[in-house]
Amino acid sequence: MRLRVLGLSRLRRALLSRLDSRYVTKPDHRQDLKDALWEVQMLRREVVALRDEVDRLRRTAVTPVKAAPQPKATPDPKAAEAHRLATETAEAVDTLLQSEMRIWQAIDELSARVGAPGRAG
Amino acid sequence: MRVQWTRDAGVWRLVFLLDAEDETTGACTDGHPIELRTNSCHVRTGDAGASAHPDLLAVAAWTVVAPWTGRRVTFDRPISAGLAEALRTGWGVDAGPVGADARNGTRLAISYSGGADSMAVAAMFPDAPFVHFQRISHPRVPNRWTHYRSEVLAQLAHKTGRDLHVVQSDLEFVLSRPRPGFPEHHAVTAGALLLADDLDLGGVALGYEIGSRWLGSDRYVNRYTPDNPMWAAHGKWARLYAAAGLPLVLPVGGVSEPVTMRMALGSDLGHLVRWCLRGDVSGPCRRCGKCLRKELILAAIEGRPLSTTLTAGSVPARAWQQPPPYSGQETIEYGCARVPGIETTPFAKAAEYLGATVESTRWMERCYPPSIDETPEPWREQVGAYMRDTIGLMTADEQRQVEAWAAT
Repeated sequence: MRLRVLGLSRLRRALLSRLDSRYVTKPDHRQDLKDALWEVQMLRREVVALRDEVDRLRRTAVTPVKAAPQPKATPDPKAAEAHRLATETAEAVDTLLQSEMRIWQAIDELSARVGAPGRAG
Repeated sequence: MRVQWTRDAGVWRLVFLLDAEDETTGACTDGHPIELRTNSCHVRTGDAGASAHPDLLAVAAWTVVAPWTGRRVTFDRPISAGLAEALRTGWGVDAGPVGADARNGTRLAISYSGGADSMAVAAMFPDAPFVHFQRISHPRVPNRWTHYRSEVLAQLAHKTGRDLHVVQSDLEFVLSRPRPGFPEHHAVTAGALLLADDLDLGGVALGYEIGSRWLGSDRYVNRYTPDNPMWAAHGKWARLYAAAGLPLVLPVGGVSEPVTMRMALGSDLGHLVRWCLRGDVSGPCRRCGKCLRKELILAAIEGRPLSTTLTAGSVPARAWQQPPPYSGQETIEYGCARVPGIETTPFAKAAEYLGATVESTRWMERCYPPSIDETPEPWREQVGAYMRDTIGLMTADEQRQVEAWAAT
């Protein structure tokens, strides 16, 4: 009797464990469904965010930024070098133009002091 | 300072020679420090303006050389006694030689940029000719500022169909610092001055509004300034222009930017309004600081949310993340108080700092009457009638708000 019960219980346990390995319990099912729904929600949010991003990029594509390319980011070293040279030359010209004014200012002052005719009246 | 004008093939050429006491660093009348790069420039008037009264040539030159002049200025042809007196009392400089009769004229020209303010002036004076200043490159200065599309603004001016004189000049390039620009704000009238005799001009109208004239905006002191030296009718510049027979007229000097914007958009030229210096013929860039600021005004008068792709972190929006004072702050207050959803825009921080309301900014809807009173004759009547009938005048309380105004 004891053995029978033992055998039955053993059988039942074996049976249940086989069933467990193949089937999912109701609470587990519920949890799985909840997880799946949550995943869908997350994906929906991601799709919305991506759509916004596409809209934003499309708008910026319609009104392109006409900013000058950053010389440091230029992949072409020759272009970067030309940009550097142009900028430095323009600054050097500024200095030359100012010096020219100051030199003539000094010449005119000296001319006035020695009584020689200056450039203008 | 010695000034020489020469004329060849439609072009007036200006050369100025520094005296021993003159400096290559100076300040604009608004106090902003500036530095001189070179001492020559030109103004292309075309076949018109071949002979201009010496006072007109002298004032045009003075708008370029004033910041660098120490004690005296010597012109290459005799000026009128009245002009010399205006230079003496306004700047403390000896000006000469003296020997010309004073000039005068009858018509009013509009210094037309194509922006909302000068377009508002155009709406008030539908028959007045336009003089448009167009920046061109200077032969001695490499142009590193080609993003400024002055040719686009000139094309738009042509589309107005009005009597238009486009005057090209490189005079802005005489400045090396802070960047090319007018040595004095008044240099924008160089064309109107040189054409004044040909067009029989007796006044030049500019689009300076209440912020510039009365509230010290732009680069000035940002508070109520009845004695503003640039634009007050009794200020030194106004007296100088009056002495040359070409008084400065500010028809919209008593109204705010939201009002000039409404006037411009409601006019027959409204579709041509353009404040952006960067956009092409198809439209403004919508990405620069000017576009962002004007979008705030537009959204405010249209009562709609701000439409911009610029974020609070973008470079054009940087100024509005800092606490006030802001330049042209009254306009920002007006916009922040009215644009729905301002807390989600690049102006969110500014709106929070300013705490302006529709009630606290209502005075900007009407005209400040003292501005009409100081309008030179014979244009005072027309300006007054327009403001009374179309815009409305401020109440005594609202006038007091103007007079107590300070950006803080």
